[in-house]
Amino acid sequence: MSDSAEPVLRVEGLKTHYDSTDGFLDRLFGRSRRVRAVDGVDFELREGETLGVVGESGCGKTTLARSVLRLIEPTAGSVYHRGEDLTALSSAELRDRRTDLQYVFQDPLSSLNPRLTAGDVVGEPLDVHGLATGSERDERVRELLETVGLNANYADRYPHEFSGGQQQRLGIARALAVEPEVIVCDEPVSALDASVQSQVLNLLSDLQEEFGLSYVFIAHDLRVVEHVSDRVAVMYLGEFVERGPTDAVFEPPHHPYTEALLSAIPEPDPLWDGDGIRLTGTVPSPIDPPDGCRFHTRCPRLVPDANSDLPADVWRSVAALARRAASADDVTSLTATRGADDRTARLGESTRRSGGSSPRSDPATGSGPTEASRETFGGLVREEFDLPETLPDADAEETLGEAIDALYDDRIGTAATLLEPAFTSPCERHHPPEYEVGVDHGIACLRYDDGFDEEAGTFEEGAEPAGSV
Amino acid sequence: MTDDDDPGTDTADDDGTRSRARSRTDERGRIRITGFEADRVRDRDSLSEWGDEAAGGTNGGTAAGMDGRWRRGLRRFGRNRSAMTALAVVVSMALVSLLARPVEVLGVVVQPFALAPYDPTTILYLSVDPSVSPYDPPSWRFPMGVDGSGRDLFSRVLVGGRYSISIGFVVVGLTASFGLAYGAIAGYYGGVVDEVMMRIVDVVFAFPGLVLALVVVATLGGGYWQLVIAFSLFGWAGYARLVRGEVLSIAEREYVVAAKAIGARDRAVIRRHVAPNALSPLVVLASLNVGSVVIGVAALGFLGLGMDPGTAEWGTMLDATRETLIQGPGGRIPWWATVYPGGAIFVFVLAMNVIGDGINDALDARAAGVREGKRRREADRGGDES
Repeated sequence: MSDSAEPVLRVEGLKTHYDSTDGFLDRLFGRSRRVRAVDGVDFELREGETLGVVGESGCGKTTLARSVLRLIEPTAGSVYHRGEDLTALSSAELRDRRTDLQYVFQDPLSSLNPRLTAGDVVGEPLDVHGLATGSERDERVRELLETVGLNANYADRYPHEFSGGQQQRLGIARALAVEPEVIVCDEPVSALDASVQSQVLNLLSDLQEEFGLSYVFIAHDLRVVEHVSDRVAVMYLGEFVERGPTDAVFEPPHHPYTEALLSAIPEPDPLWDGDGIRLTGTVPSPIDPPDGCRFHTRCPRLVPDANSDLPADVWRSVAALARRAASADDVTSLTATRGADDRTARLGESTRRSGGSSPRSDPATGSGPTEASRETFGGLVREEFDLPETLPDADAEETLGEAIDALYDDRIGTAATLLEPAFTSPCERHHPPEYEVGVDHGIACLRYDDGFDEEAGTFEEGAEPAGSV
Repeated sequence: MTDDDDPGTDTADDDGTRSRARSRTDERGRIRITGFEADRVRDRDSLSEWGDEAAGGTNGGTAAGMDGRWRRGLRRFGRNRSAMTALAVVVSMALVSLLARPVEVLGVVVQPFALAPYDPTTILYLSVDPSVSPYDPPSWRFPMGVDGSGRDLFSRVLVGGRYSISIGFVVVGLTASFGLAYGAIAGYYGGVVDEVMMRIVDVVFAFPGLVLALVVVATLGGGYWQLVIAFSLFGWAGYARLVRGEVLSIAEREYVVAAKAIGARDRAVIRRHVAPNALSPLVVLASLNVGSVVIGVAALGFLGLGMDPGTAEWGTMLDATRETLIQGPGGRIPWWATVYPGGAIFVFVLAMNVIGDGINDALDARAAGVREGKRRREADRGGDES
């Protein structure tokens, strides 16, 4: 930690939950459903630096960005700007603060009022804060337009008359008008094509140099983040799973999720054989996020139970079966398609098969899996989850056998209750705190806990992770 | 454009062996793409047409760029012949009724013209010409005939426009402005505010409008301002609901968030960003509603509840000659007593509706953009060449 100065922006335990309760009746019966879009995020932004925030869509990036500036009211937590808590400010005080904290939007066109000319868009912050009037205002507007690389003669044009890149420049000029310290950029280049992206990114970094700005830079494109950021935070389902200096995040050790994201960066080499880590399934619903580590449902490096003697990958396969059984409502989704050559391979390990069809592909019509014999059915289930004919561990094999029996009788619930206690990962039980793995580099994964046995690849159950939830 | 980091594999000349010679790898970064560096792209951009266009060439473009949706709408409206005809009809009707008889304010004549030959309340056979009898048919002297009380219908129809037309515009002006403010506040703040405000609107909607107006007029008595109150008191609900719906979607737009992000007050956000963008459907509804208010006023008049019975208001005039619709004295039907005032209502309402449709078409943003843009580009090109 380089405690050189007080950070410009410090976010502590920021939570933003949405109430998605459907209506009056639901409210009456207390069936409230809270979307935990941002669920406990901490970060610091130092002067003149860029903090990149990456994550797949739906993980709460935009909500985080807006909560930081209180464009959405955070549910809990604090945002300190120069030591003062923004969440405690009155709305009038907050309005004054907006001269220091600005926002650049993802979609440049929709963030510009179609009825205002470019000059009015850029001049509005000046009017709102009374920064300039009359000819001084016009002069400042022209100056701002030129600062972002637009022709000052365009001041009378309407937003739709600009190209996407120019619209985004206009959005940046608007943010610059109040001479802010911090600009939160919410995917500022995602809506632009590649060549324009680099122009806008360069503009942002030029402005950073010129005005000493600090950026919170939200993106889903890791290459963009790598290019612009001094530090990177990786977000998954409302939480940061890893954060640290850009180089450190892009080099091992990784959080398994970061690793998967990094492997997805396209490589222009046609002969490149590097295998992307394919994450199965979708991001779980933030209404009811998974217990323990939120990534455990999709994690290719799930930590096996310490009491199990199974090899790690086999263990993970059975755990995947247990999890699927707990959520499935139809046995067919637990079996392989008859005769399918390509199967979804278990991912994350070096021995992966290429190709792969949807894991939920239905069996051939007419011959449902439960109509097959018990042996065939067991085979189908094992095939779907890439399990060996018999598990190397006798106890485990027995449990699995019983579970498959239950599935064969169409008792999914029974199978789930059989499997679940036997194949529960420590990742499901413990919510990993952030472990310091390097200078200023933290990873929230049990693999970096002291209790994690690197050799065996297991987590020592006795050792409670510090600060586990 | 591509740069091979591994020089050993780059030597073979024949492409066939070369691709085989290069082994498959899972190392990243063997091929690097150049030429897409930002600096280069930026340099290239400065040479693009946008740069060229910058200084002189955009004079035409800037002038054209000045006009917003409203001015563009105005031009489209101007090209819409039926709407322009209707506008001419409405304007001339309004003018004629204004100029029909002199207007005095506090004893001072502010409008000296008199297009109507007689005062609308003059009973002709008493003061002008004893030979005139009630229900005289149209003649050169009385172009629209004489009504049941012996008054000149032509004069009455001309002057009657003053009441009907002005009530229409006054009521719509009042209700639309109130509805805009009400709906914008409800839609912008949402939540409980919205819930309460919209339930009030629902209550207003629960009564049939004309019956409510009838009750109000029956309570307050007839008269001009009573009619305005009767129609305004409940007429705003439709605007409020329309604007609220519009504002709900506008309030979610990013430019509203952007306005909040730069620190604008709610009031300024509503005034500058929300309300103007909700205005065009409101204008359309308002222009269509002028007609229905006029009809409503006429309907109350026909029921004998509008203006005082003798007033030269179109609906009231219809009421006064109601019995002649079936059969007049002497077995003949004096059609002129009902056709002319009824026709005036019909023409005015029709014209207002055509105008409303015209405005609707003119402000339709989807139809607006492309053709205009193309036209303007062509104009620009012409300007550049000259």
